[in-house]
Amino acid sequence: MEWYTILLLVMGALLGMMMLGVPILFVLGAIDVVLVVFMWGRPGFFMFGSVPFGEINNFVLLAVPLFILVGELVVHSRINRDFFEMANAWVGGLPGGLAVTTQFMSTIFAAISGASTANTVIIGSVATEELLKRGYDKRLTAGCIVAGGSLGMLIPPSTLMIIYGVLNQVSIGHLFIGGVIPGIVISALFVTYILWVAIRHPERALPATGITWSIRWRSLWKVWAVLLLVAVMLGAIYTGLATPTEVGALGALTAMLIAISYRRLNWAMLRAALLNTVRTTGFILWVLVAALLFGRVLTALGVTQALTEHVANLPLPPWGILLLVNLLLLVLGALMDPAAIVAVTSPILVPIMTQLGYSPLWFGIVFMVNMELAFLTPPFGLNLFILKSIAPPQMGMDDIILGALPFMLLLLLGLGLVMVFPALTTWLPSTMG
Amino acid sequence: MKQPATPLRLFGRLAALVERVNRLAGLGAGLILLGMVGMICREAIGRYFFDAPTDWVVELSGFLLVGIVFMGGGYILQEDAHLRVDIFYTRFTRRNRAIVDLIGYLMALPFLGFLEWQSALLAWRAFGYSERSMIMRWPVYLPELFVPLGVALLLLQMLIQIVRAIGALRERQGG
Amino acid sequence: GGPLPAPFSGAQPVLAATTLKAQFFLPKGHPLSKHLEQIYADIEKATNGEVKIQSFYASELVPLRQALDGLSNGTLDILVGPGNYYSGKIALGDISIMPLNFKHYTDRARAFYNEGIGKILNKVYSKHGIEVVAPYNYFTGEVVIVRKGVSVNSLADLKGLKLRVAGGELVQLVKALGAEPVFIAPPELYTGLQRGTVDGAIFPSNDLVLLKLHEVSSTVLLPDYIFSGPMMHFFMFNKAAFDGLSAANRQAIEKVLHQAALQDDRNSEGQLVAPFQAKAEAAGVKYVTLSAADIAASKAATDAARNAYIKYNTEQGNGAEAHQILNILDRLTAR
Ligand code: NA
Ligand code: NA
Repeated sequence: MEWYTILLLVMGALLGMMMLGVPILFVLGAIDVVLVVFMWGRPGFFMFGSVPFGEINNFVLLAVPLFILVGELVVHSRINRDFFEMANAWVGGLPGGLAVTTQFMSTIFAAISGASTANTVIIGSVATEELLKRGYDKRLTAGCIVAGGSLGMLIPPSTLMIIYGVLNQVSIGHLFIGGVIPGIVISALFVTYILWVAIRHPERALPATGITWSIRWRSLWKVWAVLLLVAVMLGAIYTGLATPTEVGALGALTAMLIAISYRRLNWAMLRAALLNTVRTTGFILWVLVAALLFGRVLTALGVTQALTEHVANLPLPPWGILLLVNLLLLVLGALMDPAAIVAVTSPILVPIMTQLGYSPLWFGIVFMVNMELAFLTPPFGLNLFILKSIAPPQMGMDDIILGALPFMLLLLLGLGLVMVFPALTTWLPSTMG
Repeated sequence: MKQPATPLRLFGRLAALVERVNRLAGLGAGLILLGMVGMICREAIGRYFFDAPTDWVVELSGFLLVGIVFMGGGYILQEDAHLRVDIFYTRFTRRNRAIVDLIGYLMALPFLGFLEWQSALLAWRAFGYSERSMIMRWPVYLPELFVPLGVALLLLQMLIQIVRAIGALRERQGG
Repeated sequence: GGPLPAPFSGAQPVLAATTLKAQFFLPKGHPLSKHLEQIYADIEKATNGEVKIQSFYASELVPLRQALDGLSNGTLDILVGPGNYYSGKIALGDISIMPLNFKHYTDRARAFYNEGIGKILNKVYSKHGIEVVAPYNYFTGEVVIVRKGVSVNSLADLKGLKLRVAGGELVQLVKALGAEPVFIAPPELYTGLQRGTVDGAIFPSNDLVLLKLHEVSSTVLLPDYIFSGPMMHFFMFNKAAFDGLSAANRQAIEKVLHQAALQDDRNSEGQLVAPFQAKAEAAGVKYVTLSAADIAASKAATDAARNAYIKYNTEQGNGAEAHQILNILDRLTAR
């Protein structure tokens, strides 16, 4: 059998089984077994022993549970709610004010939470109700929340970037910093769109009324919790108090102390936050183990190398291949979970991009922006599902998808900007060496 | 009076036990995480404010992460939290869902079997050679045991789900 | 180990060729990896193409810490790397990176081949199904680097500093110098130095520039042999795979590697130390050599590290071999 036959069979089986609804871990695991047993043989068996312990015993991966826990604690201690009330008191009175508030909040909380799903929960559990209550258009509300939520994995910290960095040996610190400017640019695109809608169709985004200066001043004290959390996490990295991995622990501790000060910390709340974190961390890192095995086995069999050479030698300019790859990721993104896409495809795609002369750091950010779309694109759009599960019943799936549509186009525009202007990604990391 | 031990009742008791153990393992993983938050804060704060870094935090927290991930495996399956594409799955009938579940379990069993066998072997060799960790010179087989233990918990949970899925199939056939 | 299944061995399979899977821990573009690639090519040539080497970098096949097990098992046929990564299993290999291991670059091949360290190592490695066929000497020593804002000119200045180390005997050295060993992951070292999470690190002198740490460092403390003299990594083969080669091919490989070791002993200082030092100095890094008095005073600290070496090896039942090796090293260092 030639390498491409193997690859096609593997990809076919992967997609077919996954579409049926078989968990991705099981599909990848079965393929690992088939490849090792039938293609590599006895010497490959040890991979099943060495990869799980060898890869998960990695200090850098500690950031995954720690940052997920921070997000969980923020929701369970309702820090997000207080922040929203403050922001609304100050800018809610402007055209589209509440929606802009939501965007602003998404960007701030993206700097605390490690994942887009977590960010969507943080934003959605507060903003959905508030926006609908004040007469905001259902679709604008939905789009604004799912899109803002997706910033969670582009603005650091980012669990997906950690997975990408670990799989492809790219500096996680550089990836984190590389996501900052694209994250802000995309956030600015969202805000611009919201303002445009609010001005052209004032009935879709009514300004809040009845906000007095006394409400504004009184709301200010509520924001100390978020400011403290952001200050501790960014400050700890900046002053050298903690490494980027360790800072998740300081964030979790701070969030717990805030919850204590509000008298909101109790065993039931802590238990729920811990169990949710164990679940999310577990499924991400189990899939990572299976994917690392997959990548290492393909490397051992020479498939990755052969594919890299072939794709690099296609009669297409490098940017043509880059566009094709992005198209592939968009299609996969409509069907699969972003963590699984990064795990399965990046070990194959990154060598190709490197061979074509693209930097793996820059491609990582392109990949991440593309994956932001994956959180929104139906039929499998995680943020759509999350919003549906927390929104009131009058907001249907059709409202959510149609509401997300303009934001998907904006994300495509953002993706184009990141590809056309690599400096957006590479400038900040280059200043840190 | 004790109820007669029919196979069904026995299975029910066994399943309840396994699920209980897995819930406890999941909570245990959560508590380890909480401990890890404390350890890492101790390391960062001690190092920065008191010039008192530790030698044990980095090595121990890497080992404990293995515990958090693998000890939670059975619990994750119990909660049906493994990532899946559910475009069609949610629209399937109960029976078809049971079929897809069974396919998935059959695909996973050899994989989990290999993980169990080879990771147990890794720990066994480390034990045999008295392998020590790099910094603290702790026995390495102890953290390595998290993997075969966690995979075993997942396997047990899976066996129960398999029996249930088969039950769901037969139920429909009967009715 | 053994050959790959036919479909994967390339477009034009050469008859009777054996393909060996070789793993190195550094990434593909690293100068030390490129140098290794040349040695592999020499092996293919010397065996008339009968031995082919399928090379893997950045531990992309078996995870770094499990690679020695992978070699024992035959998942890998060749593992190139320092012995101290596998210290928990075979602490004898810690001489790869250890205080006062080698004073002169040319001591390495001499120790391995002429003084019998190769034979002593193999007495222990063979129990794990591994043969240390040759040293890999295209390496520098390790130095202390210190971040900007901290200045060191003497051993006394190291007292109380937080120094990043990887583990092993260097931990004892740092403690004996009155500094605090800190363990942070290598990817976090740059920001660690920049932000002052650590004050310095013990690090290979060429990687200082390759990882751009010179941008955030003020001083490099010499001489290197106090922290670790020129490193001696190993070409480790799966014993069954090596013994499975024809006698002629085994000899050809041994010869290529022996010549490479001698050549690397001569060249690595000039090629790996001087150019990188020039770059770092141009960026404002100061290179400070300890005074003779300080070098003499460092004896107590290096002794602590060497006692740990004896202790670890005694625990593994190889205390006698550890003593033999240290005696050889001392004899060479005294010259
Ligand atoms: Na984030
Ligand atoms: Na999608």
